[in-house]
Amino acid sequence: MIVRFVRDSIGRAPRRKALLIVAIAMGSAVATSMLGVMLSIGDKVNRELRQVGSNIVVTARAASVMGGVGGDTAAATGGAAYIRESDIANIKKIFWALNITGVSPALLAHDGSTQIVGAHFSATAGLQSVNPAWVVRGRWAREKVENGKTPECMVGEGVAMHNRWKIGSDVTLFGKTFRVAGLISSGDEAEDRVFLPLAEVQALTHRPGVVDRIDVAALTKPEDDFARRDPKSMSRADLERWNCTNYVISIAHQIEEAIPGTEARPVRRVADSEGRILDHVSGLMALITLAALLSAGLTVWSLTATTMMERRGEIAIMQAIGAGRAMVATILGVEISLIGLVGGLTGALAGVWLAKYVGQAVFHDAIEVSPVLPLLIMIAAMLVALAGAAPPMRRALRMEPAVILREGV
Amino acid sequence: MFLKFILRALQYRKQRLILAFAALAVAATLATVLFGIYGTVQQRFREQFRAYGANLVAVPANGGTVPISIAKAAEDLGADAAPFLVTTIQIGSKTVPVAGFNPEKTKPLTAYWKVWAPCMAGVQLGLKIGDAVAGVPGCRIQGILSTGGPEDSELLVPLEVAQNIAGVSNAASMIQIRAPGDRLGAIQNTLQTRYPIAQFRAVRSVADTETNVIVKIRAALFLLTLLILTITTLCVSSNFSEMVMERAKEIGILKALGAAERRIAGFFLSESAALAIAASIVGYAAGLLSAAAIGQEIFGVGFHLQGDWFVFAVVAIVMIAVAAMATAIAASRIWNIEAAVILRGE
Repeated sequence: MIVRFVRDSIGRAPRRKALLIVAIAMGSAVATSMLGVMLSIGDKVNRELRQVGSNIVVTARAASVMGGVGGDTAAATGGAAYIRESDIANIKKIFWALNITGVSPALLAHDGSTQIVGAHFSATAGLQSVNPAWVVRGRWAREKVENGKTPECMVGEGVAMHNRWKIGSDVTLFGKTFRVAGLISSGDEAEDRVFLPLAEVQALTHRPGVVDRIDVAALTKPEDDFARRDPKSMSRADLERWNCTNYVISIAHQIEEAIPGTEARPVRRVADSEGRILDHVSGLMALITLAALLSAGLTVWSLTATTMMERRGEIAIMQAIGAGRAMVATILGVEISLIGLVGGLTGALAGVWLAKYVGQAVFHDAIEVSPVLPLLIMIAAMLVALAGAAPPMRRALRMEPAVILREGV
Repeated sequence: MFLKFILRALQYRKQRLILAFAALAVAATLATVLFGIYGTVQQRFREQFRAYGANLVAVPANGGTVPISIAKAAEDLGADAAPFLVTTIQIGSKTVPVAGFNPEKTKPLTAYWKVWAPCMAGVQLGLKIGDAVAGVPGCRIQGILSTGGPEDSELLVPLEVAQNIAGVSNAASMIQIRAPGDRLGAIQNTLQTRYPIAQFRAVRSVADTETNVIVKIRAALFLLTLLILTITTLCVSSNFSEMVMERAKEIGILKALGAAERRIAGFFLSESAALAIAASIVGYAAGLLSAAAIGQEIFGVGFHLQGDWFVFAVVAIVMIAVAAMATAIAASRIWNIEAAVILRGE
C-alpha cells in the first residue's frame, strides 16, 4: 500500500517533484565535483611543482666539493668518493619507487676552466626528467652515435657565449671532438656547464662505472611535525608509518638504505617551498569545498522544507481519513528518501563528470574520483532532504487535522 | 496600497520568506567569498613562491666579478637582492669554497636556511660549532648549515671577510635577485640595459613554475567558482518559482477581486526584488567576513576586511536578476489561472 501511495504521490505532481529532484541533483553535483577536485588537486599541483627540479640529492658519504648558493654553484670540484653506476637502479626498487619522477646521475670533471658534467640525455632517465623547465635551443643530443660519426654534446648558453660556440660547432674536450647538438638555457649554473654523455666522461677521465651525484625528483607529502622526528627514536609502529608516508625525508632515508655508502639529502630550498605551497593550496580548497558543501546542503534542506510546508493540507486529509502518524510519516519519508536518492545519484554522476572536466581543462589530466564518493554523496543527499522535511512534517502531524483543513493552507 | 500589500505578505508568510531569504543570502555569501578569493589568490601565492628564493641571477658576462651596485639598483626597482662572493681557502691540503654573504640582504632569499649566524660551515665540511678556521681571521663557526644544496660543502662568512680573502672590494661573484613574479621580465630588461658588464639570467625552474602553478590554480578556482555559482543560482531560482506556484489560490482571489494580471505580477516581482536586495546586503557582509577569515586561516595575512563596491554591485545585480527572472517565469502562469477553477479547489 505504501508503494502505491508513493507512486501516486509522485505521479500526481510530477512537475513539483521534478523541480525538487533537479535541485537536489545540482546540490549533489557541486558537492561531488568539489570533493573530487579537492582530493586530487594536491597531487596535480605537486606534479606541476616538480618543474622546479630535483628535491633529493644523493652523494657519496665523503663527497666531492662544490661551492655556491641556492641553485647556483660557482666553484670547482675535487674529492674522490663515488657512487657505483650499477647501484642507481636500486632507487627504482624502494617502497615509493612509483613516486619518483626523475633520476639523473652526474659525473663532474673539468678541462682547463671548462666545467663538464657527464649525464644521460634521455627523456625518461636523465637531465630532462629532473629539469623539465630547461629550455633547449636546437635539440637534445644523442648519447650513442653510429661508428665514425662525431659524438654529440649539450652546452649551456653561458659557456657557448664565452667561447662563441653555436649549434653544430665542433668543440674539443679532453682531446676528443664533440658536436654541439643544443644549447641549454636554465638561468642557473647549468648555463656554465658542458654536458657530455656519461659514458664518454667516464672513459675520458678514467673513472669507469662511477658517478659523483644523483639528482632525484620525487612526489612528496608536505612535512609535518611527525615527519621531522628522528626515525632512530621511533617505536616500531611509528617507524613503519613514517616509512610508509611519502615525506621527502623518508624517501631520502630509503634511498640511503638502497644504495649503501651514500648520503641522500632533501634539497631544502625545493622541498620546504613545495610543502608550503601544497599546504596552502589544499587548505584553500578545503575551505572552499566546505563552503560549497554547506551551501549545497542548505539549499536542498530549505527546498525540501518548503515543499513539505505546502503539503500540510495533504497530511491533514490523510490523518482525517484515519491514517496514523506513523503511517503518514512513513509514506512521506519513503517518498522524500526516494527523491533524495534519485536526485543525489544523478547529481553525483554529473559531479564526477564535472570534476573530470575541470581536471582536463586545467591540468590536462583527468581527475579520478573514487567510486565511493558518489555513493556517499547520494546517501548524504537523502539524509539532508529528510532532515529538511522532518520539522515541518512533525509540526503538521501534531496539529489537529480539522484546524488545518478549516483554515485552508 | 502596493507597499501595504507587500508588507502584509511579508508578515503573513514569514517562515516561508525566511527560507527563501536564507537560500539567497547563502548564494550571495558564497559569491562574495569566491570573488574575493579569486581576486587575491594570485598575490597570495606569489608571496608563497618567494620561498624558492631568487628568480633572477646576475653573473659576470666575461668572468671576474660584477659590481655590487647592481643589488642597490635591483632594490630600487622593487626587488630583493643579495650579493655573494665565492672564493676559496686552503685548509690543510683541502681547497674549501668560501661564500661571502650579507646576512641582512640574504635572509629574504634563503628562507630554507634553518640556521642563522655570520659565520657558518656546511654540514659536509665536518667542522664543529666553536671551531676556528685557519685562513679566515676572526671567524669561529657559529652554526652548521644543512640545505641539500651547494651550501652544504662550503664555508659561509660575512661578505667583507670574503672580499678581504679574495682581495676585491665592492664586487661580487653573483647577485641573486627576487623580482616580483609579474614584473620579472621588465626588471631583467631594465637591469641588463643598465649593466651590460653582467649577464642577467631568469631562473627558469623558479620563474616558469611560479607562472604555471599560479595560472593553473586561478583557472581551477575560476571554473569551480563558475560551477558553484551557476548551480546555486539555479537552486535559488527554483525556490523562487515555487513561491509563485504555491500561491495559485491567492492569485485566484486577487483575480476574482478584479486585479489586473500585470499588477499581480508586479507584486511578486517587487517582493522578490526586495528579498534579493536584502539578501545581497546580508550575504555580502557575511562573505567579507568569511573571506577575511579564510585569508587569515590559510595565508595568515591578518583579519583584513576589504570591501569592493564592484564586487557588491555584481553580487547584487546577479541576485536581483536571478530572483526576478525566476519569479517572472513562474509569474507568466498568472495569465493562465482561471479564478473560478482555482477557487473551486481543483
